[in-house]
Amino acid sequence: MKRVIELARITVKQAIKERSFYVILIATLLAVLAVPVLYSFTMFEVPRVLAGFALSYTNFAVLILMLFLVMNLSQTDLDRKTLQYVISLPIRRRDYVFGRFLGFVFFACILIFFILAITVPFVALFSRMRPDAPFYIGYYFLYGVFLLIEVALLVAIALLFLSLTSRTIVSMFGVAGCYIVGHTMDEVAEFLRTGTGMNMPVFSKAVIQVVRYIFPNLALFDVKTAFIYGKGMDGMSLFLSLLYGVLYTVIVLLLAVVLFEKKEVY
Amino acid sequence: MSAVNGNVVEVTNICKTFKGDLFQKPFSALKDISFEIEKGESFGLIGVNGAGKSTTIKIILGVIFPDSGEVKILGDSPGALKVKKKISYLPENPVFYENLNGEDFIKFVGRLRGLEGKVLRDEVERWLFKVNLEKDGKKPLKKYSRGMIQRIGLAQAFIGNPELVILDEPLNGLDPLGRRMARDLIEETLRLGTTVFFTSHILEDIERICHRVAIIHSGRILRFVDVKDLKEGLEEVFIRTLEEYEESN
Ligand SMILES: Nc1ncnc2c1ncn2[C@@H]1O[C@H](COP(=O)(O)OP(=O)(O)OP(=O)(O)O)[C@@H](O)[C@H]1O
Ligand SMILES: [Mg+2]
Repeated sequence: MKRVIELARITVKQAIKERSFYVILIATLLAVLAVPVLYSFTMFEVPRVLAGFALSYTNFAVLILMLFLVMNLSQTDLDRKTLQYVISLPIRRRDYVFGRFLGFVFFACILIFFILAITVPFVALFSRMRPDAPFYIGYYFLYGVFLLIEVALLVAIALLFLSLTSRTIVSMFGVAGCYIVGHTMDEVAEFLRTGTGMNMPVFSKAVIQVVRYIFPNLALFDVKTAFIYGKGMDGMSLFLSLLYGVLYTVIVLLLAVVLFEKKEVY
Repeated sequence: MSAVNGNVVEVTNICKTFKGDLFQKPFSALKDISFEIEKGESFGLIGVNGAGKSTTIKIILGVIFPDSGEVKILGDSPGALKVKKKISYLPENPVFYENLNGEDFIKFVGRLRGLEGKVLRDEVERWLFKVNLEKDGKKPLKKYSRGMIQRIGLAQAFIGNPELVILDEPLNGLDPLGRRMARDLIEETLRLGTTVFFTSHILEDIERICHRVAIIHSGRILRFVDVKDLKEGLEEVFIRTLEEYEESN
């Protein structure tokens, strides 16, 4: 465990020293300054627009930065042969995978916290002016938790690709592919139930079903829309989504470890 | 401790073929390599570019795996945590974590080798001083020059007193003073009883520091040389060995 923490620590240190981290923080401040502008344009739906804006922005900023960091730090380890050196240090190979994972997830925690801490107070402030649109801080907290789960899952997938292939480009498309499929497969399944979908060949339908079971259903973690429109969600389905995310992440991570133990690191 | 017979490294009949990518043929990089290194010995591996030196080292480290043959390091399999706690490695053309500063990097390695607290701080300072980087400890590694990276690489290889130090071309990129320093560091660590395994293209240095040398060519070890028994320069022996090999093929 000591070695895992050591690697996690070095990962966070590396991430904090990346310039892109500051770029995102500054971008967040600028985005917040855009709030009054939005306010002057859209009088009617203001709180809703603002909340949507804040959450979409957080989602975008966190995912982009995390993907960039994970790819940059892990994959360049491989490309520049730093990985050969690192696994010759007194660590187990699995310590590297777990350490990287924990480091990235911890960093994502900090990141989500900061971005929400900058944007949410503004949303709260403007919501005050419209008593008909209630503002629940708890939603934002839950939203942060689900975003973190999604990031953790994607980090685990990125580490799995690191163990699977030595090619950055394959990893990048792999992770991006999982992200896209993960967010759209619910819609595809929906489509299958419509008239046109019903008439599709059985084979294609079977393929889609298999894909649904293999790829992570990331749409489950997208609680944004439900929250903004005040629909909320029942506790049970939130809990199940959370459980699904954690289990999926653990399985992917363990798979990454098993493959990484046997990987020849060129 | 090490195996009964006191060998720190035992490499027996290893072969390694790189599978190659989509359109490349497999490449046989090591063909039946065997050697051992005794405790406290300074062992050099020399050979032309592409002879298989770095590949041998990576197999000893457990970074890649041999197709056949056996490797024992300090009586255990390469790659085992127990082994890695007692060895250190300086890669050829090293790239370390670039956005860390030199001090943080050395500290990270020191901690993994089990140092902590005041001992860790003292050792970090001592090694930065030994490789003349005491003023550059706070600079990020990406701002280091080639030779400075090599120096920090040497510092990380020696910190925490490993039992076996594996150096792939440790004198690369160093200025004349740096080369002298590196040689002194290796000699000093040998006096402490540490085993050193290294490769170099500068035969003069090899001759000065090594007890025993293996000449490797096209993935085969052609000859072992005891440096103290040398009656001519190592360079002559090296070139003659390669010529004899070319003739017989
Ligand atoms: N990952 C790899 N895939 C395919 N071939 C490889 C790989 N790594 C090394 N080789 C080949 O194996 C041979 C030995 O390489 P190695 O790096 O061991 O040489 P070396 O003796 O260290 O040379 P140098 O003095 O240039 O450092 C070379 O022909 C090289 O092209
Ligand atoms: Mg080499």
